[in-house]
Amino acid sequence: MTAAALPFPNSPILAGWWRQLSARRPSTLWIGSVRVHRIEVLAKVLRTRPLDSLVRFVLAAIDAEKRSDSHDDNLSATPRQGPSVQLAGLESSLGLDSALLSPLLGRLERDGLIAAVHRNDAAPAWAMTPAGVNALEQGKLVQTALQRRTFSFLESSTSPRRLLFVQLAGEGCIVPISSPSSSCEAPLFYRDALGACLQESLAWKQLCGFPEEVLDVVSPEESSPLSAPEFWQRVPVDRIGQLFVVLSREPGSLHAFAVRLQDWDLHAAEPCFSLDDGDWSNLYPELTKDPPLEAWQKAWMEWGLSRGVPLAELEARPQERSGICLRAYLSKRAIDRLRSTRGDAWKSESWLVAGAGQLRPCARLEIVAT
Amino acid sequence: VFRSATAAQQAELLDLAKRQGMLYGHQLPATPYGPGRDGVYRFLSRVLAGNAQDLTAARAAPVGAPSLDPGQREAVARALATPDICLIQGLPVSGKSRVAAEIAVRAAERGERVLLVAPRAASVDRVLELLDDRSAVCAVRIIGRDEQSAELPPRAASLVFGERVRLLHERALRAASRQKSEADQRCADLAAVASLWPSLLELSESSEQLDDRCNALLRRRQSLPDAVTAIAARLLTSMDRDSADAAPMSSPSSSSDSPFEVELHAAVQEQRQAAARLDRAISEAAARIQAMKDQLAGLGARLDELAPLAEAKAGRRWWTPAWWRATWRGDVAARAADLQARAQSVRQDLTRLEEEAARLGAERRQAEEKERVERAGRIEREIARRGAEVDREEATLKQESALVERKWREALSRIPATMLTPRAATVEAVREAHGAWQRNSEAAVERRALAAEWAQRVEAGPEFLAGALRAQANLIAAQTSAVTADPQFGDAVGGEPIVFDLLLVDHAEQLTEAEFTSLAVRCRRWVLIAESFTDGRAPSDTAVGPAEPNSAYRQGNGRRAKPPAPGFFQRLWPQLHCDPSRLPYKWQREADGRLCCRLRTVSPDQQRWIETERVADHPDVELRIVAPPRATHSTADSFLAEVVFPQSVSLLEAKSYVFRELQEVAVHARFPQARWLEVPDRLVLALADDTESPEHVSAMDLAPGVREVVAFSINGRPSGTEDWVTRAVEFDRAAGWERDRAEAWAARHLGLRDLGRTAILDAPQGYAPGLAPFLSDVLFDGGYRIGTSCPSPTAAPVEFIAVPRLSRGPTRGPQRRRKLPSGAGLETDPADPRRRDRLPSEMHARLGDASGLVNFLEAQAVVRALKGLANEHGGSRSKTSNPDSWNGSFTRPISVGVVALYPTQARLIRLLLAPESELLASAGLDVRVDEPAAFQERECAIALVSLTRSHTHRATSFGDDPAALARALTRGRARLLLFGDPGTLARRAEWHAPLDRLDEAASTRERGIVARLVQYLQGEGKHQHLFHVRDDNPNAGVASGRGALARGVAARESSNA
Repeated sequence: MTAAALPFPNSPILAGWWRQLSARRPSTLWIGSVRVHRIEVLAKVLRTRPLDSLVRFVLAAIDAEKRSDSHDDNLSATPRQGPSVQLAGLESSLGLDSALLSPLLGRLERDGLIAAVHRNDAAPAWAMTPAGVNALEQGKLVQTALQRRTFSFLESSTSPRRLLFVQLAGEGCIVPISSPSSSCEAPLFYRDALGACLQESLAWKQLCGFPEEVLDVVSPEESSPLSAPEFWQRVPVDRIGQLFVVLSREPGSLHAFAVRLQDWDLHAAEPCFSLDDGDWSNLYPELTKDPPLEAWQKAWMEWGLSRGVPLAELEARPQERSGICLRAYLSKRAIDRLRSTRGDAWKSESWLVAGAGQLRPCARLEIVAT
Repeated sequence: VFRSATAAQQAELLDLAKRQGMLYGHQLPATPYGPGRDGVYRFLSRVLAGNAQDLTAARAAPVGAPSLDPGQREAVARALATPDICLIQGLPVSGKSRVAAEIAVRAAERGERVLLVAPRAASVDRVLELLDDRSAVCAVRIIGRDEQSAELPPRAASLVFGERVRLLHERALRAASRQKSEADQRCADLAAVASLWPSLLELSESSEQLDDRCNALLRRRQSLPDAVTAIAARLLTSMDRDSADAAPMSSPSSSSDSPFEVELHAAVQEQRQAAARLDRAISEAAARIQAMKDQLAGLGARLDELAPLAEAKAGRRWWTPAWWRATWRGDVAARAADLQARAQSVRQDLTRLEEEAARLGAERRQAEEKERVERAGRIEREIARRGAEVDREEATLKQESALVERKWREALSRIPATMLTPRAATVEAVREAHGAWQRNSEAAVERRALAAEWAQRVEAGPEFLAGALRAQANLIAAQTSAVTADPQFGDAVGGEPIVFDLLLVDHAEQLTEAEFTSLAVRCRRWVLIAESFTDGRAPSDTAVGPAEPNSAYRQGNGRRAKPPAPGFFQRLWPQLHCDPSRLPYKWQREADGRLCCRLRTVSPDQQRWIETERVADHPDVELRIVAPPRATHSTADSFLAEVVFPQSVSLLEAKSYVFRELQEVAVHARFPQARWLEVPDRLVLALADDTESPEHVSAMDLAPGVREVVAFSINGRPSGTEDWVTRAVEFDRAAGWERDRAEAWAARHLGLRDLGRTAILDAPQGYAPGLAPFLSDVLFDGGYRIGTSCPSPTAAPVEFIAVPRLSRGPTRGPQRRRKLPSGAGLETDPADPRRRDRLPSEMHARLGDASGLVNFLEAQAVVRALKGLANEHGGSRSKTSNPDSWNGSFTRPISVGVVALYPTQARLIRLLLAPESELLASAGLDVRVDEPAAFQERECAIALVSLTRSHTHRATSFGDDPAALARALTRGRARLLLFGDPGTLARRAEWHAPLDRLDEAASTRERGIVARLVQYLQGEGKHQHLFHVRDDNPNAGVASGRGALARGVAARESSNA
């Protein structure tokens, strides 16, 4: 199976999109579909979450009890029973009942913030762990855990295929495709791409939106010492899809806006991804140059013929590219004829799409009378 | 996604993942199940559509809970292990609430949040009561709209969210205030000590200096003899050196010399001078002695020379030269005599001189000795003198030390007793204590800050604690209908409802699918616990007997009550439960003695299509094949229905043949549950009750390492007949059998696959000996699993009080059976004007406009029985020392439940009982009179059941449904007293059709119960010795039961033992 080619919109739809995007003053517009990989892997993640008030109070109470206990142990003639705190002590210091404290202490123990100290002759007691001390000092809990995480990548349009990490929005517009096609060497493919991202600097991660808390990726072959996830939990999943986008080239970057294919709805409020100049030119090299003028002429002729403009008129004069526009020349008679049709051409809302690739440039048609 | 996939899908996904190194999105199955309405619907649809067998079997890890029986432990383990749903079905009084509590506790211990619901609040509160002492659970009881906190049991009332927050807040406020003041005091105490440290340090320094001086003195004292001796020795050496140098003995050279040295020097010098004089005298004497000796020697020599001459002269030996020389010399004799005289004189002088020399020597030695003694004396005196000096210094030091110590103690006395003090008066100890004080001060300041912050947070209002409770509560308990609207834990809290890890539903048999779904969408896993009045076997097995084809119902008006749709739980149960008793296999001897193995169920319609065929190589084996005509499209293809073996073939041979030829293990299993047991050497698929003890067991090999264990004549069934069951299928580990492989084999050859999502509770809990077997027989047709080691009761725990009394006659046998009277017609409805004579007018007035069935005579009998119990209890109260017996009779009254099947009858009994309340209370009886529904989750030591119905001419139902009757009969743990009209019961037992409001199934079940009860009334009960029939005697009270209570106590104690 291969991915079916996505359709392209007609001129009025393009005109509508232009109205949504014109404020951004793009220098060039492309439309078309890009291949997106959403790769879900088991990742080692550094989880940070703030301590809630009650937890902080409980830890502080244990710490306070422990510290005074430990000093007494060293010096007092009648030392207490070690640097740990019993439930009764916490109940007394906070005035909370054991029914509330016990589950909380159990949770803190599972989080590794405290450790239970069992003595033969006494009720279980709790002592702060180094992680607990850190958490109390920093006011937040930092833990390493294994989580299934999804990372989005754009696949390059030319060989050799490469993946580029992007912070992708508009995932609802992605059309799943059922063929890995170019990704026959997929495991290495995703591993290299993810590995490269993990090796990048913090500044790069912040710039690109790569989650800083991800420390590593667990491959299916390895078993992490953090826990022993089963094989199925370590299997990476690559959800490949096509995303129809409008690419707006703006100074220094290229912004992509997702389109919902069902109704050609453009999500123009914010880009679904943005690429710097160097990135997009490597990923989609076809965007670096405008199609040859023949391609535009072909599009112009198709447009004109469909609107009843004589072939001779269309072929008579060359067209000119000017920024977002394609300037075409027609005789006054031909223009009058177009005007009489009250079509889109005369409202300056005609758009042409040139080329035959997955990404095609589009231009607003300006018809000039000769 | 993976967890929700079917087993086949999982295998396929894993295979793909291993081959590809990853999976692609299109290879994954559709959206997974899980919390969320769609997930729940999909899961339920899948299960209810019969596709549950695709689920991955859940394997439960053993649970250690000594307070639970094995069946309960298994249920808990399965509930905890299930990835999605677990169904637990239990007979009444089989410990469902206890299991629910244990599941909740275990889940809470794993950090899970549990939603506990039940259609009735009493069920929820019962579970909460059992959780009373489990610290892992932070429970909150949600109050429904129709509930009042004040009406809840104390335990449940204390768990209501608002009440909990209020109590928490009050307690936290008190503690915060106390902590704050204590922290302030602690800081103040520590601060007050701050000024002491410099003085303590100074004192410690002084103390150390004094110690040093003391030590120095001590060392000085110890070195005194040596020092003085050394001084003396040095002085003597010096004097010796001076004397050796022949220098004049000098006096002490410097003014720094001590008097001791000067004196010693003088003494030594004097002594030495005297010694020198003596030495000189001795020398002179020696010289004189020597001179005298020389003189004496000279005289001797001269005498020696003259002596021969004088001797020769005196002898006149003139012929000798000596005579001639003497003569020549002249006067030799005189000269010799003179010499001798002179020698004698010298000798005498020498002797005197030698004596003088000896005297001088002795004098010198004496002088030396005297000097030595005097010197030692001087040294000792010097030591003593110096010691005295040390003593004086020491005394001074001691005074100083005492002063410093007094100041030290004074300083320490200013440190509070709760504070640490230096362990010694040393600088190091003071610095150490000071360091500790500093750290304690810092800690105290921190604690004060913490206490202040905590107090501030708590004093700000209870919202903080409410939030904490909301976050920490791990068991939310509520009536089913109360959850969604709860402001704390309901669906609309904060826009996003709380997701629970476990939904625990008690009495799930009353739950509708809609109710379940509305709760399940918020929970990750679901455990449904239902009460059942069957033991899980197919309904046909629990019926007392086949319905008679010519019953009145079948000949009657043609109305057939439409059986109600099974409840939600009942629909789920067969889809998830692995019930070997539902397998189609059946073995039976045919009329001609041949052994028939039924492989498939043949419907009556299919009977006509059965064709017989002989096996080619075993013509004596007959195959019965259902072969529908080809034109019949409504039926399935042909199938082998039965295999018939000749009479000579044994059961084991036949089973072996079936397995060999058909690869099917045609088991015979009566037990409704298959369980996998893992023992060290084998895996066992148990298909029988392990409490039963077979008379004979045989094993038949099926495949390498696999055998079917067959038990014959179980539990007293007549031997000699072919009564047998498959006890287990065993797989030897030594033959390479592992659990997965064994499960797959069992699924293929037995059609059994245990999904690990169901459990059955069928062991009665806490009944006195004898009561459980009776109830098991009457209510559940032997459904209770009772161990064979159960002790026999000393007295019948069940008594039937016939109202009206039975006529005299044989007490046993068919004659009595035939003579059961017809119904007495004692029941009436107070609202029925035609039967007003059956109830005293006074009672009519007191009942008011109440309607419903009452039986006045039976109510009177109940009251008389209660009075009898009160009399009994007064005499038997002190006959046991077991505090647990009689439901804790020594710490609280004996609980007595009077269960009337109809509410008006309960009301009537209450009215009749009102005058006796003081008597009952004084006898220690806590009597509650109510209808069966009110006794749910409430068991009593003694139950009195008023069956109420007494009709003259027709069969009547007993209660609203058989469950109510079963609930009524199961409420008593030690003793059960039944009150009823035997004739009406007998009439009911003969009626096989639906009755009153009961549908066919309920009617059949009720008839079964009543019929078995009637068998006991006729003296033909299975456990007849547990059953005692007596007449109600209005005059004698319950005299015939005198002492029964005491016997019951003893029996219960025996059971506990």
